[in-house]
Amino acid sequence: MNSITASKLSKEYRYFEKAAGLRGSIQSLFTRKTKVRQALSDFSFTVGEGEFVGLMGPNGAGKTTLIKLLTGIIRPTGGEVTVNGFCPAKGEAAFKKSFALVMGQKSQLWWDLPASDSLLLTKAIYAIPDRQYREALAYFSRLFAVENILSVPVRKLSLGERMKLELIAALLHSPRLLLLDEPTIGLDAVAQRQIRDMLKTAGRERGVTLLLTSHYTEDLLELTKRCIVLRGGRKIYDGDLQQLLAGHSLSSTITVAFSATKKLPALDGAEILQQSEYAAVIRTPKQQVENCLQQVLALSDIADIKIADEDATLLVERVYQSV
Amino acid sequence: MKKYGFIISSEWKNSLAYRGDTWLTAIFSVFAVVLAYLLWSAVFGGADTLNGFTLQQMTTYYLLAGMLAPLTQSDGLLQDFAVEIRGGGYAKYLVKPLSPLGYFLAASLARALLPLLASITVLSIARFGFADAFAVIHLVDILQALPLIMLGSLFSMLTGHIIAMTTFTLTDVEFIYVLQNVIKAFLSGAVIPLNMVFGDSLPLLSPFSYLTYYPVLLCLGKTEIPPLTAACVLTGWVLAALALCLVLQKQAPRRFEGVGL
Repeated sequence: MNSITASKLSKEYRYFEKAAGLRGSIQSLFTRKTKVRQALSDFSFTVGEGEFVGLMGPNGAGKTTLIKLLTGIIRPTGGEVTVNGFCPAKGEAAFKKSFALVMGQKSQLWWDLPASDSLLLTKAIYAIPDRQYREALAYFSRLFAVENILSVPVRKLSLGERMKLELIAALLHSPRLLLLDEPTIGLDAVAQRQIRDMLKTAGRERGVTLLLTSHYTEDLLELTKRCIVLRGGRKIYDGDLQQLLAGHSLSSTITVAFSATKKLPALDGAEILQQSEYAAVIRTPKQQVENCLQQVLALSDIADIKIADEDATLLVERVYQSV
Repeated sequence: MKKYGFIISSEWKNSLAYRGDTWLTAIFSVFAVVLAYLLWSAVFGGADTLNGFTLQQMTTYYLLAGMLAPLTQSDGLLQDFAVEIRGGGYAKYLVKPLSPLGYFLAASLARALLPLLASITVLSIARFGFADAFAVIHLVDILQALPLIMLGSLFSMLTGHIIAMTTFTLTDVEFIYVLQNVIKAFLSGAVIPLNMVFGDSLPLLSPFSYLTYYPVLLCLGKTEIPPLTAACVLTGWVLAALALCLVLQKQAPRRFEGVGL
């Protein structure tokens, strides 16, 4: 069964155009030019229950608009969508209980109160039975390692700690679908990894369907297998993420470590990026990797060789430009 | 209903995080009464009555009007809602099994009750400290006024919600809520007893006079309109405002684009 089914979904925003400057401001008091921006066009996709799917696309591609449509925050201009068997635009209470939305830039915790108070309010809003609440809170606070900060006012917590608590607040009522919009935005590398690991565990153990948008490729690579790429409000790719990135990878980086001081000679079809006494970093086009390796292996005193793909962020940039 | 009870307690907990502000507001309400006393002492200038009020009744009028003030204002929440609608924060009411109107009413009530309790405490102490300056209020009159005070408070909250909902269309409603504050304060009699402005031709069907002027007169035992008539008029207004709120709650968010999310 599908958790999400969208067919020919479209959304257009209307806005007013105003000329710059004071004159433009005064003019706009009397006449305004209405413009229409197509945020999403003819967008069809499905997400199966328990699937982890990533939404990718540059800023303004329509990712957040799609999430807003799926959660009933806004209504589509055209097309149909069902989420967990409900029409989001109807805003039924049963539908709202079936999913959770976490937006990295919008907090649902009460700023001046300890998170435990916000969690109690969540319990009341979702009518979570006492026993389920206690078990879920114990499980998630252990998983996210936040037992010691539940009674600290939210404003005193770090961004990473706050995000962990946001996720707990979202997961307490056992949603079938979790929508995450930039959940790791602004977090340091350690906090990002912790949150990814915890989401993976929570998703696996609780059978949640996950739809994730993130500009951090690591989030998508670690959490999702399938990705949907949007550009200009249209779907331009829907499939395996690794396969997509591999298809856009143009070169590999070969790091060679030596057991003795050595200067790498010029290699055919490769560029030396860095050179030190005991190591060298080489970049070579994908089709030249074998040839380059043969030249490297012919050298003496080799201690180690590592082959890496291009930086994922660079690959994503290429995906956005070329798909 | 349990969830709305939790919203009230969360609002209280939130307000108590800044308890100094709550008490300072209440303490400063004493100054308003002292100022009213000094002003009206000068206006009375030794006269026994003015427009049917003795000096003690006039001072008591301002004491009671000051106590009722938190119940007839939902400005803070109205502004919060307007900001949330403009900045996308309103989405939280759309993705949770929660009525935005229910939330607004519960939070308004919570925000009104704490300052109300604080101001009742402080002003009651002031009243007992200066007993000669105030008129005697009978418990039976207070009990008669209570249902009207609750209806008036509900009407104020509902009108606050209606104005908040217009943010979906107008984007900025600051002018409207400043205007409604001025109109409400003046027409409710919070600034000056209404008979001093309108004489005996007070409009029976206006809802505003039942927010402050009428309940205070009831407490002072001075009203000529039967409480049942007043309650019927106010109930009519409450039902009309509630109906409009429910329609707006359903229709207005259709314009919501979640800008800022």
